Amino acid sequence: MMTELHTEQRKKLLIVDDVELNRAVLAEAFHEEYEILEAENGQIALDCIFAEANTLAAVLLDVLMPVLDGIAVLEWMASKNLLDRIPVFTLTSETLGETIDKAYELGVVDVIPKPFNPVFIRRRLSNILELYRHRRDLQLMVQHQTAKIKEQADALRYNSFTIIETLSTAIEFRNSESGEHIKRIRDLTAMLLRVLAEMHPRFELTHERIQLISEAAVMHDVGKISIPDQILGKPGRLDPEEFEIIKTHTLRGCEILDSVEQLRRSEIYQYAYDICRHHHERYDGHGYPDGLIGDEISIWAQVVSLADVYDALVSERVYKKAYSHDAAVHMICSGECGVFNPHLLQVLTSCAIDIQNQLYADSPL
Amino acid sequence: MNLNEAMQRLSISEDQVRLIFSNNLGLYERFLLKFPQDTSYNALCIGMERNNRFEIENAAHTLKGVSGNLGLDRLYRACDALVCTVRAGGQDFSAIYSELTHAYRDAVTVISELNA
Repeated sequence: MMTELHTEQRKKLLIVDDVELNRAVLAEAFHEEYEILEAENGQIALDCIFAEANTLAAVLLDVLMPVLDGIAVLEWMASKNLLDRIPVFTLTSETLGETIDKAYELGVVDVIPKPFNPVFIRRRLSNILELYRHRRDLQLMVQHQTAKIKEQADALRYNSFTIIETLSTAIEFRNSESGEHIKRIRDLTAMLLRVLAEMHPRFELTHERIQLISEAAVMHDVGKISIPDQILGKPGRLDPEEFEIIKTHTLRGCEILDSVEQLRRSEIYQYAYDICRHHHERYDGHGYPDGLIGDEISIWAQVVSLADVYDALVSERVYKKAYSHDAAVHMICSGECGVFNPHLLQVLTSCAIDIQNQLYADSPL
Repeated sequence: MNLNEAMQRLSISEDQVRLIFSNNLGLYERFLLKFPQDTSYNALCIGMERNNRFEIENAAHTLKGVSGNLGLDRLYRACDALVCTVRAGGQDFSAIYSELTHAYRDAVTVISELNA
């Protein structure tokens, strides 16, 4: 890749005209300020522009020439996006007409009338080059600022995410479970999404999106921080009142996510919020908190929901022993744990063995 | 005949050519002396013989540019008139072409005497 030279370092002027006299007049006008390059037709001009693209300050271009005319040169330069970097002035005794219109459309910065007035041309060239210099400086500044902003945004995003992940892990420990649950939810969500993406491309689950959703899944139970210990850690069955309190962890979790401003501005927020709120919805509408039904529930919330149920079944909890993986799959598919999207059940059964071998290899079941 | 005399004979404005040639009269004289070798007048004659409007227009356009830069105003105006007539679809160029030819021959005659 050619190094882009600052405008001040561009010190060559290309004069393109089939008439020697015209080239001589212009060379005389500019030879003290620029190194002059000459071309007597469009083809030679193209070769020169190609070779000197990084050092040309400007091109003075006649229109009517043999071999290749000025319009063809302009078209080539436009196709290579060179007109943004190298200002082109056409040389002509016409000031109106189709050719001039075409030249302007292609991107010439100015028309130099013949007979030449070098004082006039020098002033016009100088003004235009100063404009290009300012534009270039501005572009570099914007690029630099954009890079800085991105760096800061990435850092903020990382910080926000780290805060939430740490909080989520702390909640798990409080729940008398290890921090491994949220990691398994993340990995299980990712695996289910990858299989779903292959089976059903219409969900447009790109690699980047899957990564984002599975990281967002880590925060699904952050709202449990608001649940009293005696309910969260109760070994037996929850009574209806206690169950109502547990159910509030979905909405409380959303409030927590909302309170982290940096997270709200990040790409992961939309998924984290949705998953936090809806990972207990069910496909038949019998879930909570909003009673969403079918595809009203986002596919990612449905996947995390499935992952959460599966992991709960195959893990030991204060209120139950662990089920085997085969039993867990059977219970989910038979509707014992609520109704799930049939496509997701298909996904689960197709990768059940991989789930067991890759994500629960250390499990005794 | 020296350059000043030639410029006076052809009503060439010294201010104008100094402006165009960035005050370099030596360069100007060099190209004035080369003018009789310029091929655009011959190309125009051929175009007229063939009655080829495209060739006429192009050659007159080129000659117009050269004569304009050299300060040969009479020739410049004649070339401009011919170009405009061709583009406007005119059919009879004889009067304009005659004037152009006279202007060209006058210029070439004077230039041939330059530095003689």
